Amino acid sequence: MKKSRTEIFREPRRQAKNALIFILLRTLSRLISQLWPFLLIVLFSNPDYGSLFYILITVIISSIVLITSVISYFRFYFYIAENKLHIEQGVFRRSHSSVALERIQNVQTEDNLIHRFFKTVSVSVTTAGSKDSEFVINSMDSEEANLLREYIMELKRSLRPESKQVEGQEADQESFVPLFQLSLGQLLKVGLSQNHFRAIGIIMGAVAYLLSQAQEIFREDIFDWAYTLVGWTNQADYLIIFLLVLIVFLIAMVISMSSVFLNYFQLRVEMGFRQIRLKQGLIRRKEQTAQLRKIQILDWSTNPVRRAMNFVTVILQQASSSSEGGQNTLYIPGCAEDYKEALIQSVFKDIDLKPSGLSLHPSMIWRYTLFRGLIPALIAVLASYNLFGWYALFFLIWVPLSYWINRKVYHSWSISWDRNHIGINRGIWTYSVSIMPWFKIQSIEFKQSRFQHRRNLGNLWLYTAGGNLMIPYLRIEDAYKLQNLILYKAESTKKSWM
Amino acid sequence: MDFNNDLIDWDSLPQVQEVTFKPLATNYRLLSMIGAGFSSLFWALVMLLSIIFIQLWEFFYLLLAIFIWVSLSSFLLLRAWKLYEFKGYALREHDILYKSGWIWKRWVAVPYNRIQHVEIRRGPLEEMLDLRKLQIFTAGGASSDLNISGLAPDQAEQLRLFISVKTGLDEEE
Repeated sequence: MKKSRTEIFREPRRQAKNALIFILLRTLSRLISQLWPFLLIVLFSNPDYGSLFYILITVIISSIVLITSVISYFRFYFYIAENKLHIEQGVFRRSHSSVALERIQNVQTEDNLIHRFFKTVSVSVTTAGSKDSEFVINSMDSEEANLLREYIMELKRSLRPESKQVEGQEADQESFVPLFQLSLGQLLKVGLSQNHFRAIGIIMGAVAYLLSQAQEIFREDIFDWAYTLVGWTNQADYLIIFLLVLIVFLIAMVISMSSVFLNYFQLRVEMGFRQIRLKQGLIRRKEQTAQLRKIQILDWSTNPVRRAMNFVTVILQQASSSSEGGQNTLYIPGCAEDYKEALIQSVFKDIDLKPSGLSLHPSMIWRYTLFRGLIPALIAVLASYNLFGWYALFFLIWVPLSYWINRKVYHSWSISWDRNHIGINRGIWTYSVSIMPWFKIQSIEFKQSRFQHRRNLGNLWLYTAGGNLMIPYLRIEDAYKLQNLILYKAESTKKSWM
Repeated sequence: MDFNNDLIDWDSLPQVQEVTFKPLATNYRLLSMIGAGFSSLFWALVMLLSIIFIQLWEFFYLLLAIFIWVSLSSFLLLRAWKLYEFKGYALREHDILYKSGWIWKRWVAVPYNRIQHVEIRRGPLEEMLDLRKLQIFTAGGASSDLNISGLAPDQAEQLRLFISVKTGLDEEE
């Protein structure tokens, strides 16, 4: 019987034995990240009394920390009592935390390779409160974890008032239908279309950091050494520089590709009637579930590379209970065009967006050209006049270029709507569309600069619990219209925004 | 199906643009002037320090600094004086409206059924001038929260009570 099996949670329980591995691994990685300069000294310096001293310190600190972390495993207990989930932990300072079951929002499980080897999972319990109130159990038997989840959900249901019980039961017993799964080929495409420049930035940062750290240890000027290397390449051939750039770019590509593979391997999107579920990850399988009614904004975006491969990136912004940010965003890369439509249809049931006929005022083009084109160009000319002389005037080429870009940006904007939703489309390189149900609005703001005020224009800001949307250079009569409509929608509905 | 015809007669909606706004307490003008005074002092200090540290002890630079400071301060003070005329709030049956700004204008609307909670705050200056600040929090984060400073105490309390009742009512439905 389930009832009797769940009794085990009433007694204080430890984590599964293999949790020790995770605790030790985490402690080790923390130790290495803190102590690696010491380790380098130990490895590279001549054996003398000085290095013996360092070795001694390293060994003592490490063993204390490791022993403490092992003890911490034996001092960690969790149990359910009085409709609360309790966790006791701590070696020197015992802490006892508890959370009421009705405040628990979700019990999520995650597993990585080691977990799978031992048939265990890690369990995290999220609550509706502040971001600190998340409970994590490093490792427990996967069957037990399922049992715990069912048990918590069952107790939670029984605590709910009568009226909400029916709805709750339906939501908890939701059946999911797979919408799509990323194949290996699609994953490869997603990896290729990543922004590799970000990875290049990370490489540069890492190299600079390593050099500066290494310099402190070796006391030789590594930067001098690096400069001589660069100087040597300058003399030798431009080909070498070219090869160097190519290599960096290739490494960057490998980095961003592998991060895509690690995070989105076998990405699976499943739809229920009230929920959407994402499963993804190579070493760490992650599972995310979101209530559809909590989704505030759906963004999808594409760029020429992705368009050529016929897929888009979809981001679902959930209402965030706290400032935790990333946790409440569902990121779905590599969503094929057909599935995108299906996804939008299932998130916003009755959506049928049509062009609204609203347009932005064309003065946006030359105002943007002024602030993003002319002024930066003039500053660049003035700043570099000493260096380049009259050649500095070449920066002014940016002005017509900027005008051309802003013209394109202006024409890329379009606003569509239906009776329950608004869609905002914009962008030239990255083309993105944001869709929001009218009534999800938290507040509306209309802002005007002096210039906009004279011309009866302004920027309209729509704030939701999952992010903001902005429509620039809207005519004031259109802004009033939209504001009246949105307020009417938000105030007349009985639907909850989350 | 045409959205315009199908759904909304735009003019039959409650019209935001026809609302008359209530001004803030008259003491607010003094409060914002004192605030502007403090920031002018701050800028005077910044300029003095930069003159000392960069050693620009020349008549020209001193004159320039004084000129910049005078024009900056007079702008700040003028703005503080003017702001009062452009600030105001309005309560409607289902939302609160607030407008402000002399050079950069803004107006905000927050429906009562989106308000999480309301707070009344006062700093030492506001205490002296007998003013209160009303903070209205929504779930949309700091950018969508609404702060109305420069209210008379009973005005603020009235607003807080009114909004609390309104949000309470909307929750029960």
